Amino acid sequence: MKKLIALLALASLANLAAAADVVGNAKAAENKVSMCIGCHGIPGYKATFPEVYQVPMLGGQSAQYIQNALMAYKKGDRNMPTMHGIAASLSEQDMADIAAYYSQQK
Amino acid sequence: MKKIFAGVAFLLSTSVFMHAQAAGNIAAGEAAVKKYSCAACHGADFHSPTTPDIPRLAGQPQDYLQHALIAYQRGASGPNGRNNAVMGGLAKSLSHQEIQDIAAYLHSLPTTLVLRK
Repeated sequence: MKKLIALLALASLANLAAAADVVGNAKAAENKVSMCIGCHGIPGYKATFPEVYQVPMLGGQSAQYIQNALMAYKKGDRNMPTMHGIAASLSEQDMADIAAYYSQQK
Repeated sequence: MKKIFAGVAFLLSTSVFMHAQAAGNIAAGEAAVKKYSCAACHGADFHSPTTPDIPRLAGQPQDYLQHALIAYQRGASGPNGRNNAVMGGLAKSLSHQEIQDIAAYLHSLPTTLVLRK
């Protein structure tokens, strides 16, 4: 039992450490959003495959959601070639920075 | 020439038809989000999700919301599909009409989301 508790404590520490590693910095994203704004910065811009739809608004969305979505595009839980190409080129730190950038927009 | 006219007329009529199809009914959408308890995670105003890993939906483009639900139905093995433990199951129980109605309702709600560079 003691071992289990120690293990759990260790695991939660490791979790904290991992989370601490990737604190998003909105300022650092200013050079990284150039790939985003060609679609997500243009009112009415539409994606066309296989449905035709306006791309979502990102400004003010929660940072954790944006980060998860980028990771899902990278890993394939979201299967979209355009976003996969972009997300695959991003590090976790890049994703956190971009997520901070958009979540802080008003 | 006649054929071209017929073709254009056909295209026009299908685009009118598709437009009508894409409309969705806001009141029916409000009933549907209650039926499927969407607010339990996405928040009563659909702008205050219960945890930060859940997106704000209020005011997003109607066609985007529609696409996202269809993408969850398709799953990530399909083109532009999405896998998600919760949304995959939920979306698969929706009819196409319900998706359109829900998208219309969520799009109609007030939002502070912005589209900016």
